[in-house]
Amino acid sequence: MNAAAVTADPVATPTDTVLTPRLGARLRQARMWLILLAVVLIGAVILFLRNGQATTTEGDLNPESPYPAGSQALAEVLRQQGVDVRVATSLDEATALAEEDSTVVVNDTGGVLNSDQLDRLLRLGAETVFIQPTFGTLSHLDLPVALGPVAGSSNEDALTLSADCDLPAAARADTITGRGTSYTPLEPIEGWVGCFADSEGNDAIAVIGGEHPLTLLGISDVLRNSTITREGNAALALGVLGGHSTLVWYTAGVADIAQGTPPTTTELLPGWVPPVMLLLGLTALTAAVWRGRRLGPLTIENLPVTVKAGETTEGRARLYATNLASEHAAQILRNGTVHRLSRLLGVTDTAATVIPVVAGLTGWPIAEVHALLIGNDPVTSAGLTRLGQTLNTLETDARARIHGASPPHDHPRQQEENPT
Amino acid sequence: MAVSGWFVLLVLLGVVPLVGTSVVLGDAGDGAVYGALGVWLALCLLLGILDLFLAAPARRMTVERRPIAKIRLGQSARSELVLGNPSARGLRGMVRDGWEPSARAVPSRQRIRVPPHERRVIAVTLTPFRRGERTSPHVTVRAFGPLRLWARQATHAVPGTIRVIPPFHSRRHLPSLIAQLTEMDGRTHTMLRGAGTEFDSLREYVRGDDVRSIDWRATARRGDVVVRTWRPERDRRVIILVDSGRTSAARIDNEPRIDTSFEAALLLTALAHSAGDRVDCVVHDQRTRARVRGTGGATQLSRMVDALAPVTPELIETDWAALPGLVRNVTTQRSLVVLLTTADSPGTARPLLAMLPQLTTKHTVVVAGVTDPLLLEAAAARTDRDETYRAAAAEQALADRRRVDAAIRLCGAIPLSATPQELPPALARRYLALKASGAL
Repeated sequence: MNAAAVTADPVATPTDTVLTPRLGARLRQARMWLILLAVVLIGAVILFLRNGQATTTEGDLNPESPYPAGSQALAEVLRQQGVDVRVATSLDEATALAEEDSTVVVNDTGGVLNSDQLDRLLRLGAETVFIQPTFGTLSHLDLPVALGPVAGSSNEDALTLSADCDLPAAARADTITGRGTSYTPLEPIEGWVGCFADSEGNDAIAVIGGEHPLTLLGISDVLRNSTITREGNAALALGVLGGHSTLVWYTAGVADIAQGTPPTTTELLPGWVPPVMLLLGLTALTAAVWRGRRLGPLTIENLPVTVKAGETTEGRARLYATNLASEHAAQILRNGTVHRLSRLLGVTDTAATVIPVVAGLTGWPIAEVHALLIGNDPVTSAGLTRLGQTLNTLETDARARIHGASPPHDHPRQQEENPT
Repeated sequence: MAVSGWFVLLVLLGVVPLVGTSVVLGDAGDGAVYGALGVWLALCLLLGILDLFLAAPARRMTVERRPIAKIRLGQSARSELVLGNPSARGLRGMVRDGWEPSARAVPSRQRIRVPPHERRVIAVTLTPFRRGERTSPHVTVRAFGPLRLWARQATHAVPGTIRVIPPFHSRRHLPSLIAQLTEMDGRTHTMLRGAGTEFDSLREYVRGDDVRSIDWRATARRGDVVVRTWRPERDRRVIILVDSGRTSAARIDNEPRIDTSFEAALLLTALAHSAGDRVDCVVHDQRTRARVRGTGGATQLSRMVDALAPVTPELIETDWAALPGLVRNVTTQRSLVVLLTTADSPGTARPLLAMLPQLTTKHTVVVAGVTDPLLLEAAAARTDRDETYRAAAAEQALADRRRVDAAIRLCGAIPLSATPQELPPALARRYLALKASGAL
């Protein structure tokens, strides 16, 4: 074969026989899905951005939250009164925002701050207000104070307490209402002024005087949007928080917990582990593509129907068995035997003609053969089995007499008759 | 496009530069490790794309099939593809010929190398395990680049077919049957001197000849005792009707009934052909699936095998009422009609029985069917309760069959039933018996 012939021959390429679509065709086919995917992605991004902005305004005692549990009302009124309200969500932020002449409100109802952080906090501003400090916070502050729920209050009914003390803000408020915690000094504390004592004499509001006065605000309801308008709540809240020109509203959060905790596993791992994990993931993806790409489409084959024969016989047998149709089954077995015996003996196919002949041939008592072939039907399955076996024995005997040993049943080939 | 295992390995190897960067730069290198990852992935992708561009164009390959001879079921054949590479780049890759699973192609995929502007033959051995037309609609070529990372892949529509004809296992019975046929030659008159057997020749009397066949006139002419010899009748018509309906799909003794019918039809055709008769064969259910005209000649059997090969059972009821018309279409002459079907219960056989008299008035009809050997075994097994009930059910099935056979006989036809192995020779023997008696 010369080179020219070889090159000339395959040039006539029947390209139209190629089934694999080109990249362009494939993209065109999937255009609808691609557009759908793009729409879904863009929608998801938009939703994420909107919701991401919206979530910041929620939260209990949050001065930016307009919800019932928030405190936006109080913050707004304070701003109108000329107080500069600043919001902090970490201790560092609060430190940066606080000035010499500031009131610092600490919302640490979760008790996340440790004693070092509390010490820093106390020195931040001119005055510090703790909203419902927990036992942990109090002990970190080294205050020998016991606390409990305001006596006489229950979950349903807010209790109304009256001031009964010298504190100006409390005196202006006269009465307040809400649920919360009350505090009792276990030993005399210097500068302790308690107000709004409950029925057991524990104070719902307490101020500990000194260089940096400390207020324990046991009734947080006085700050909330939903309850600030009741009784003298607003007056107390404004009086306690509006004492200085700036107010730092510090809500202790996740950023404060991390400080001082032992390093996490992620921090202990070498720096190359996350990118290597990513690489392994991508390798797995590549391997999936490698193994997943078939060498050509599957070949479709029409398989023939093949039905298993003998299913109907099997089904009929089960039907007999479940209905315990021993009489019926016995009749069929007898008919079969009579038919084969009549064939064997050359008599007509009825029990009456077969009985005497077969009895004479095999030497079985005629009464026994009679009972076997046209006697009473067995009523139990065990009786049927016995009958079936006896019928077999009779046939075998008859066959043995006629032509020695022979198969128990005649073969269909032998049933063929000569054409007449 | 396809990706090779080497590419996966290449991506995985990126672990080395990643850990290396981290170790060299220390704690400060966290960001750099991600950078290294990006660079590595970009490198892999670049190499892959480069490889893809350098690969031989799989779409432009030419694929031709060489014709394949038809084979019997159980034999093997070689399927050959000629793969041409018209491009200037060498093809290194894989080829898969998309044969049906039942064609059992070995190897199913193979590595190939076709230099530029050359052609190569790709051979696949087929050992089909189903008769009929086995096809391969397409051939897939995967061409790797020189780096063996990425590959181009294209599937070419190059339909190929191999015809797998029925195995005809029962042809082993043929020699003995033909021997029986030749024995009949010239001796038939001793068995039955009746109408239908044909006069062959005269020969001298030999001791043992039937005195009734002495031709007295010829004896007078020759002055020696002369007898007439006879030969089996010739040039009769045999019409085989194979039922490909619902019941022919049943599998008995690991062979569908239709395959047994085909075996029987083929054996009868072969035998009738050597006996000088013309055989027509029609496969029918609701419509005619295959038809072979009885032109005689040496090609008859091969044409028949060819016609029967692709026929499969259909899950529909056979239209028996159409059969007399089919037979009339074949011939109006008196002939032997063989129905290869299943008539095993009075209910299902009713349409067949209703049609039979129309055929039997004119033709000799044999209704041949397969019996389940398991049925006979089940009827004799009576050791426990379940078996006894099964025996009763089997006896009932046998009794049903006897009733149908009796009905067929009443219609004037001849019933014939045997196990799958026995049916073809049984039918052939029945044909010989009919021939011997001059019933055709």
